[in-house]
Amino acid sequence: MTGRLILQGNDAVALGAVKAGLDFFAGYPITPASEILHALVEYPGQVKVLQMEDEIASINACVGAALAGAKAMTATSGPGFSLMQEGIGLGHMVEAPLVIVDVQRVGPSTGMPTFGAQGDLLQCRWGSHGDYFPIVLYPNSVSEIYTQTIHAFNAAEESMSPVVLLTDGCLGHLFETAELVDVPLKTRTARPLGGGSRHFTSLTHAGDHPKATVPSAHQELIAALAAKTAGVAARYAFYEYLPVKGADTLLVAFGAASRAAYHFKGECAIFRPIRIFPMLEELAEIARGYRRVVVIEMNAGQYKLLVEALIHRPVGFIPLLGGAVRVSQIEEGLKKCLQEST
Amino acid sequence: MAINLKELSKKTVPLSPGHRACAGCGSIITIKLVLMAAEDPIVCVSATGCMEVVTTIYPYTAWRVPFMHNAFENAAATLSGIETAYRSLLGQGKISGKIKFIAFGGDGGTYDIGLQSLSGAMERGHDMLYVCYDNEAYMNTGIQRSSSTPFCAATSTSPVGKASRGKKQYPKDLTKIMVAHRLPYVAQASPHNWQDLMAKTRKALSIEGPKFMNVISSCHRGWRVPMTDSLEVCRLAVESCYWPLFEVEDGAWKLNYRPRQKLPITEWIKGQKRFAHLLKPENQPMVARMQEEVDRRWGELLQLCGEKAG
Repeated sequence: MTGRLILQGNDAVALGAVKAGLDFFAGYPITPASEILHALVEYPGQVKVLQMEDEIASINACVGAALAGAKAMTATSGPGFSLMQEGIGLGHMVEAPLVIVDVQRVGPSTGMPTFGAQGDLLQCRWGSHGDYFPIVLYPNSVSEIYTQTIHAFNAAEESMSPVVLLTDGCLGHLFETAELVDVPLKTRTARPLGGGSRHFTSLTHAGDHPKATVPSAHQELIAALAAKTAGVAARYAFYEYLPVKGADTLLVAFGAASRAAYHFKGECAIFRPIRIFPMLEELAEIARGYRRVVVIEMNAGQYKLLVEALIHRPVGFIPLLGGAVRVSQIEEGLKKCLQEST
Repeated sequence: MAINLKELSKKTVPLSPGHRACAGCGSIITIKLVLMAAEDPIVCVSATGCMEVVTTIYPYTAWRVPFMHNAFENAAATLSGIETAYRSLLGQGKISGKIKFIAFGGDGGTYDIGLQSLSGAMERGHDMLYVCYDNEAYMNTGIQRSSSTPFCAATSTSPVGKASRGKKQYPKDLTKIMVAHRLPYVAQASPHNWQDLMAKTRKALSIEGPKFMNVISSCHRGWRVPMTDSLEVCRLAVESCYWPLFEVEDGAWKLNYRPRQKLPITEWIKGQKRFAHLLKPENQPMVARMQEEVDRRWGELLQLCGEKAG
């Protein structure tokens, strides 16, 4: 499907996934992500949908389907994403290509189920135990959700790993005119389960063989996983950079928060990472040209911490908490940041 | 154990008016009746679900008893911790007096995501009563099917159209799963028979150890019935033997109510729009299958209760 449509963000995920060749969806009802499940249940054609008994089951069903050769996806929000963490680690260990959509809401716990947030960033990167190197994409409009959903599938197929597509409650339920622009699809080269003897294991392994007690095997495995995703991620280095002549402040924002940050594009430069992880080296490069870098995000300082580590200097920070995204809040925060750094 | 209306009328209802349940909500009636039946002080935990949402709309709470809302899948586990802490403090003399513990969960939080936590708590044998208000789908998040949703019922994830005729599976028999835990008390009840429901609650709370009650609780939004019919539709579920009233005390099965004349299942489904497609002539084989399953389960129950077949 291409063209212009009035669509909500969650429906754009479903349409993008179908376009990307989705074969299998497993999910569990949760606000504000349920519309993805609803849309796929009613979509005629190739997609098999399972409503599971919880999110643990959903992610594990996707791992199974992915190994069997299907393009698989699940969609959830914060509480469900927390429950999925062990399964996400499993997906990385057995190299299962799949897409996890997290329509973020305010937490911790049940939090504010109907309000958007950006509190799952570090969970995306380090939520499961052990070392893994996920690719995480975060669009900021309904059009971009469609395109990035397709990219997420492509990145999963290329990296043979679970890829997270982040949105938030604001974008998931946002209705706007969307331009559906297609992206060429990547196809998997790995053969599915069923053809000859294969052995998948969540243990440390070398090829088809478990090596759970050999430190060197583990070191090699982790190095290989890191190299593999880094290589693929380089082809998905999506970002938006809006420089302004004479500006000395660079705003860093993504998802719903970046929509509010656009209000300041006349006075400040804006850098919007779409590939949230691995973090974009381009940001380190661009930040060098600015006296001040200010991160605006809907959490208490998750990405800010990482931006500081990336650019090796303190950055200003404007938290947008409790589901509210107001230009006035950013205005006040900016004033404070200016005072602090003069 | 007769419940005296005069005595009840003097009680403060532990759930205050002003909560935001829909008019005619079956679940809120169930919860109110359970709470009113309790005689000792109680501590309540509720899984995420309709009843948690409507009783705790910011900045108010309808709960006049100590209450905790936890996450979706773990009401029984959280209550296990509360009950064990009570026993620890009691043993140390840091707390005194009798306290009873009740967990509430909908069918989503009980049949599906909360089953593991419920099974664990029951197997460990905590002194608690778990009440499932079973409204047969995820009514809080947009009416998605659950493993309690009846065969053929239309929900947003088991829709009715060319390719789908509603839910394909029969509901999970959760009450029997709980009986298999060999609990001292398991019961099935309905809010239309308030005396039966309250007597069962009282009996459950008088027994030490893990107890489970499964209570059918109509939802006019999900079942698509007029809100005035919420108790009538529960009654028809019992009269048609879709939802028999029984209890299992220490492994002994007892039927609490036997309809004088068992109604055909069509009497229960015909007023509910979630089954509207079943009234079409081409779908009669599905109604027959549904009837067959109700009859099979009813026959099995009669046998377990030592009742005459029929």
